[in-house]
Amino acid sequence: MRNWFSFSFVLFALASCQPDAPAAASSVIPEPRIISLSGAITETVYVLGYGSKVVGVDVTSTYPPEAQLHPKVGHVRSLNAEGLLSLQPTLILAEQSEFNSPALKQVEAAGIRVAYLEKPFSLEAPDVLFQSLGQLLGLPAQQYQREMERIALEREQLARRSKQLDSRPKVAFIYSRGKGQMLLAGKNTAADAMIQAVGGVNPLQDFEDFRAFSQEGLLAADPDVLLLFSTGQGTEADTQSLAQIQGLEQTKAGKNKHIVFMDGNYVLGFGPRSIAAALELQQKIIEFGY
Amino acid sequence: MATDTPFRKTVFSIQGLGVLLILVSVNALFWGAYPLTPGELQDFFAGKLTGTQAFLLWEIRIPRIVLALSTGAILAVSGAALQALFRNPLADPMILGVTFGAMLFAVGGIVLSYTLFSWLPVLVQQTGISLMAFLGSLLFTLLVYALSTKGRHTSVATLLLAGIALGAIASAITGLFTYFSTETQLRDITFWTMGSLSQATWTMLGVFIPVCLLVLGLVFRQAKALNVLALGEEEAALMGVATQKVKKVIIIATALGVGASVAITGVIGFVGLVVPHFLRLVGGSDYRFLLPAAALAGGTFLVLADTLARTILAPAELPIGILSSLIGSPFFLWLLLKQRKHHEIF
Amino acid sequence: MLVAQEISYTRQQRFLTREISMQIPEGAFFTLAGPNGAGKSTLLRQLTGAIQPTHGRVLLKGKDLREWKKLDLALVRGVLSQYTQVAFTLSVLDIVLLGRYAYGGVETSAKQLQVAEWALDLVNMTAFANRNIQTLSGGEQQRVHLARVLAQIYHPESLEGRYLFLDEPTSSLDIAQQYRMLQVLQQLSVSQGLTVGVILHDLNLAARFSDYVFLLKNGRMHTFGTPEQALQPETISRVFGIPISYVSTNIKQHNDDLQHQHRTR
Repeated sequence: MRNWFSFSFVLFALASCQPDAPAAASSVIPEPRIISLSGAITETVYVLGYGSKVVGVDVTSTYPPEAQLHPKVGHVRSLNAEGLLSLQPTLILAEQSEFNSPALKQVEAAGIRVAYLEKPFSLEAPDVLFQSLGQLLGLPAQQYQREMERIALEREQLARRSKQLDSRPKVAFIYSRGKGQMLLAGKNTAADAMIQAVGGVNPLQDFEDFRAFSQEGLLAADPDVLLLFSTGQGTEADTQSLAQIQGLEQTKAGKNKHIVFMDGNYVLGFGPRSIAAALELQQKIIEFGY
Repeated sequence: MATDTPFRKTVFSIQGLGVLLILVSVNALFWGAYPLTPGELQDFFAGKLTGTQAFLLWEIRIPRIVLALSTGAILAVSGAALQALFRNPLADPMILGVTFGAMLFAVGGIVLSYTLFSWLPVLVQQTGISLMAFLGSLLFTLLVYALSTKGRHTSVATLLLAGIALGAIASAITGLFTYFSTETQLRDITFWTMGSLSQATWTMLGVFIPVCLLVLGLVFRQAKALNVLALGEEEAALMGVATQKVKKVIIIATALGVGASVAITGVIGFVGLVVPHFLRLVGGSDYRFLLPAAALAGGTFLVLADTLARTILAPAELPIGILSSLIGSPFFLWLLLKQRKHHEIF
Repeated sequence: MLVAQEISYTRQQRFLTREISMQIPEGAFFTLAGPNGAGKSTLLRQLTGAIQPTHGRVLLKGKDLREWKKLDLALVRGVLSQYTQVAFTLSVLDIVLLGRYAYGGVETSAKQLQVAEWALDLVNMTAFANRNIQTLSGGEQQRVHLARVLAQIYHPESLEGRYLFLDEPTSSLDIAQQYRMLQVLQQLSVSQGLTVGVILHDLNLAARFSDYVFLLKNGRMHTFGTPEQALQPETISRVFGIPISYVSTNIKQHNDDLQHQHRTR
């Protein structure tokens, strides 16, 4: 018992003579070693040609496929500071929402640059990410100008087609976290923004963020089209996953089988491919006859 | 019991366990996702190490090891103390539902601090959450005690059922909270209920270690009384033990310890069951031995488990709560079967 | 002196014991007897201070038991319960040493060990000192617990002014052990002045060892006095509700009588 006490006191005493944290790094890093903690950011980094500089990614970084070959640092909510440091990064990229992560605070204190990037829930997000990352990596604007122009064109096409829609269909997004754990997207969600961008309306407007699935709420909203994340295991698995949603057949979407499965990161990640994803979603809605 | 083996006295001495803890803790310094060369560690012990490596050791690895050993100590000692209180070697903060009570109140605290008290400084919010966790574990200890100790005899079945029921109630209400929380809060809560030591900082330890020392001090002083309590409460009272006072001290001290550790590390179960039971097997149940030994061995156990948790999936990490349950629950089952064989359950 | 004044104990409006008064002089060996449910254990627990009488009071050395501090009481009064279950693995010696809990602050552990050895020797369990209590038979465990309460009330010079209460201490013992245990208690009572109060079912044992016998029926004191006074066949018949006849307990006398009858025939 005495041993234990004295040992903890020794450690305590040692703690008080810790070295000062190293000074913050300069703004532009020439040969960065990058850890990306967001699927959208990873994609942007790859588009900018910095894929070879990536040394680690989080679990949501699934695209491009080669991004998955990097060491995985786990979910952004359960980061391990030492794990991050072990990859010897010089730049860690995270979304603004992770600003309070204790592990990232520790890594910052170790002198590693952590950039928290703004990513709005809108189709402007790719531009914002290009600009902030371009600045961060010290890239001349013309290097990503072409990419931004291409995206701008896509956006125009999307807007044109949205106007041509005969009606604004009601599109609801269901997020399945396994059996009995269904969430519906309300206001101020990525899904809400995406639905508006393709010319639809999210009928679930009386709550913010996600809400646990209520059968009656879904029936009352009576969506024309349902959007779900695909399981990534093929159409059959996707269709089977519908069996978990009770009351689906009673909605218009269910009766007419107007159900769209798309990869989560693709359709709601608001990365560089988000306009392409929006066009794809829109195309399906048009095919349904709206 | 049928076996007639002679009774073994302490194989593991307190000193031996202390040395083991120090060895394991120092060894844990060498392990981690970040590779350190033997030369760098030599520099570290000579006080010459600087830069990222020094930061890593001082600000990440050492606080984490200290948190692991103090959490392990407090959980094991709380388990042993609750076993004396309930006169049952199956008692454990998690099995009794106490951990879930702390979790419920802490989750309530988290939701409140996100919504009503977000204007308060983070440190005040953290303290508030810890206090809530303490109140939760205190309330649930009192409840499970009141439910399971009616009359002179505490039946194991009642104890376990009361623990399960209370745990279920707490989990259900926690579920209700998560229903009202946003996706972001939900993810925080989910990861937190899995338990993790990754958030260790010196500031946090500055609060936690004094609490641990207080709890250990309070419980250790009752060692003799807890021994007498093994004969039953009425018996202990007849032998001069101030049973009411001892019970109060144990309930408050363990609630404080469990509450504080749950608030910081989330739910880490079974340490309070596995460690004391192992020590009872090798060294007997004399609480003057068992309590300090549980503190040392509990610390050793969790430092070892955490070293595993943070290296096995490096650079990611395994939640320690999952690891401790993986080790602990089969052990619990085995204990249960063993007790049933001796008809001690019902 | 142990005095009970009109003590009653009720639970859920039912009298478990009713208006019982007793006076036990120091150094006496007394027995509580009576049919099942007569209130023997409830009465004994009131005399030990384990429970408080609902009405009336118990005075030990002139002071109400309610006013005694637990620790002070533990120094002069030991209680052997009918059935003690040890929750954890403790050695026999550990258990007996627990008896000295009340002396914790003032006594060296060497001294406590001496007392424990004395007590173990008295109950003939010295050879079991290092055994796990949970591996012993019921009778052996009972003897260990007797050693524990003997250790509790031990005093180097005399046991005068010390009290030992035992609730059916012989229940799990064989006949030989029953005799041995009661002999030890009787001896401590006679030679060292220990006051012994015991619940016994076997009236032969009660008659053989007690100075006083108290017969209880339906929570009330039915009869009391010396064994000769209290254990009259017609009294026992009334208390237990069965016909009883008296046979001399003096076996030698009995044999003499038989031989005498044989010769005279």
